[in-house]
Amino acid sequence: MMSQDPNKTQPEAPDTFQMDMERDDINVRDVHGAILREKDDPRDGYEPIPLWMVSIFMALVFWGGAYLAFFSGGFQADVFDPSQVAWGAGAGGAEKAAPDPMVVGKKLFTANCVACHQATGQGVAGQFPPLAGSEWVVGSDWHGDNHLVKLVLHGLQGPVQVEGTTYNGAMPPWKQLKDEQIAMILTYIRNEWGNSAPPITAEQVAKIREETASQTEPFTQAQLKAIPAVHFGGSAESAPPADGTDAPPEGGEPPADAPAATGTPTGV
Amino acid sequence: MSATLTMKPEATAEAEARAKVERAEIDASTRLPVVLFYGSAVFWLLVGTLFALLASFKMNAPTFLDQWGWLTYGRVRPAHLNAVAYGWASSAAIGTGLWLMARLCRAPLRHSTLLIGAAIFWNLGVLLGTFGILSGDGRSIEWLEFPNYASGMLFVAYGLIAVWAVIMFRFRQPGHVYVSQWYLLAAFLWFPWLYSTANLLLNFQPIQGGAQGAVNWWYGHNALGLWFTPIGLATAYYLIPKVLGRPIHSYYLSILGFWSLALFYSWNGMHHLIGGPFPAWMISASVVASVMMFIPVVTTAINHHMTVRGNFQALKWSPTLRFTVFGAMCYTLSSVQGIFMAIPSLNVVTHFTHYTVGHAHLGLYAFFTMIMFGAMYYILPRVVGWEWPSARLIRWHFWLTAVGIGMMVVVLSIGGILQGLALLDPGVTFMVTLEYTKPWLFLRSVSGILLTAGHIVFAVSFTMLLLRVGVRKTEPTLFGSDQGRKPERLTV
Repeated sequence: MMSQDPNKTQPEAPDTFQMDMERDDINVRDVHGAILREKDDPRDGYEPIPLWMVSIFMALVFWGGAYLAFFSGGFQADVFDPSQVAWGAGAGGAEKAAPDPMVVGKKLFTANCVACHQATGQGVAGQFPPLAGSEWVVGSDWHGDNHLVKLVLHGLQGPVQVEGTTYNGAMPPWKQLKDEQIAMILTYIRNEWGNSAPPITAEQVAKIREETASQTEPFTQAQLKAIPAVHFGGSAESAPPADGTDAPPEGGEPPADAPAATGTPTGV
Repeated sequence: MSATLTMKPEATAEAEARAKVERAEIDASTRLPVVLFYGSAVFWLLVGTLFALLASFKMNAPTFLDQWGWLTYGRVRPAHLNAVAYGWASSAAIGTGLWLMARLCRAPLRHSTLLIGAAIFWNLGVLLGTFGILSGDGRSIEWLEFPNYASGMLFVAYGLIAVWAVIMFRFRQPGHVYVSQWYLLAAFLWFPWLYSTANLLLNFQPIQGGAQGAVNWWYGHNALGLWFTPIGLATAYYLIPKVLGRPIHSYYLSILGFWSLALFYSWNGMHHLIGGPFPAWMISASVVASVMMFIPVVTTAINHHMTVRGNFQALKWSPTLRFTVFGAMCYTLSSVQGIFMAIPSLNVVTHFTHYTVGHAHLGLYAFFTMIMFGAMYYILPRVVGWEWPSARLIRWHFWLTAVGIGMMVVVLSIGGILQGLALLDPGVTFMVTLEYTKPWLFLRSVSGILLTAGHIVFAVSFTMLLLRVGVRKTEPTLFGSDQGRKPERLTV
């Protein structure tokens, strides 16, 4: 038994509790009032989880799965628009939508070409030739698809005839652009402003870039004429017949038909 | 009271007496660290409130105190955020957490040197950090504005606390581990992980480009979700059944709530970046995880509500319970609001508006801070051995803060929605969208004054308790006790 210390009637704090007292002789008056009156430490009840709650949570989880399926962009690192559904066809990234040359090509055209050829594709009268309706662009007559690629890669200088008008300027080489960029630009200008011609692919540009690797100066019209025109739509080649002075095409058919054939070999 | 134990009557009485002695020993052992952390918490609450007021006034009068770089908006505002987040809220969380930890481990606090060292480092860190922000050293990364020399100190302090928590848990008395313990231990381990990772990737060895934004908000949201929220919930899970003397409604709901919070919360941060330059799946995963927060929130809300049900009259008497239940209800409110704000079609309105500011205060103040006040009202008399000096002061504290924060959230929400709709309208110029917010920002300053008054009242009350002002009371300081009224069915 501990002695009743008169000072203890007003305990200062819990820490005045005598730790050395016998444990089975606990005088709880030494414990502070707040601890004396407090209730037992919290315990757990064991009510079951209500069924309605489980149902709502399951519905939520289902919604979450569906949302992810529709708005996750196939979990690809390069899809930024949640509404772009890139899942389903093919395995993940395999079926990534190819960029639209009419969109990307227009951007590249705007960045690189409009200064001279103008957004309307009309060029500037007397200075820069038009692209809209240009036989150089759509590859009609002797202006084969290969010539268009060549002059863009390496540039063009000296007098050129476009739509019956002669221009005498200089177009700089664009070989610093990538194959696919040139392909996009050319595909774009061949299908804008009323033009209609088969697309140019990056592979075709790459092939011509390799073939003309030795070209250091911009082409002239005369130089290009010396090179047989190729229409990518097929394997046909036509000898340069321009001005009507050169030899007729070997294919036996007028080359003027070639561009309209859109891919049909002119020689067959 | 004794009906809760299933032993023989005589054994019951003895066991109860033993439990009381045990608690007295535990409380005495926690005194110094708890008072240290609580004291610094109250100090930083006042400092942070002052910065908050300055920042709010600058919204009403932009030229107010703009002559001196130290008090410009760009410094005062982060000084407010960091002073209240790390100075007030974290210190209060640590103080409450370590007392709860000792109580729930049923073991006197060991190695208090670790905690006292931590308290010193922590305060030094917050002091240096706040000073650094004001002097222009702040990092322009929200929630992590403290310069590196300050955040390093906070990390040391926090490391000590985490080590202490693990040691305490290791030497607990055997038996059932109550739900509050899960949250406490998790929070004590989560936060150093969050804080060190975010600081490393953003301040010490910055990663590149957009990924910084992702780390920033992973941290920013988790500081609330995986640090303040679990501590707040642990406190509510302890105090509500403790004060009422009732078991918590359902152990199964506790488990569901804890694990779903742990599973979903850390994914939430990306919903701050909806519309930003991030892969769609990151944002969508975060939107889904945010909506999934419905599960832990509703689970916890029902668990708490069913525990209090039938005893709501106790809110009339017990300051602890009134603050805690207010906070617990605001947890539900704030979380449900957050869920809706994460839905992209609603986020497009609320993003970049004062609505988000209102939401942040609903979470960090109406939920977390109010629960911390409740915890202080419960813990301090036990630790200090002195009852709260005045029920009138507590009553003023409650109504000033409750009305203040309620008003702030309401006016910022209305002003924010108006601002958001105006910002979306291409026919409205930016300056006009600011005009829309003016009256609401004025009212926000008014609510800030109410909160400031509440904090001063609390600080006075707190100081009086520490200094043991007045006469020793044997009765608890309950609402109404100074008016001669007696609580009906409540002994606490």
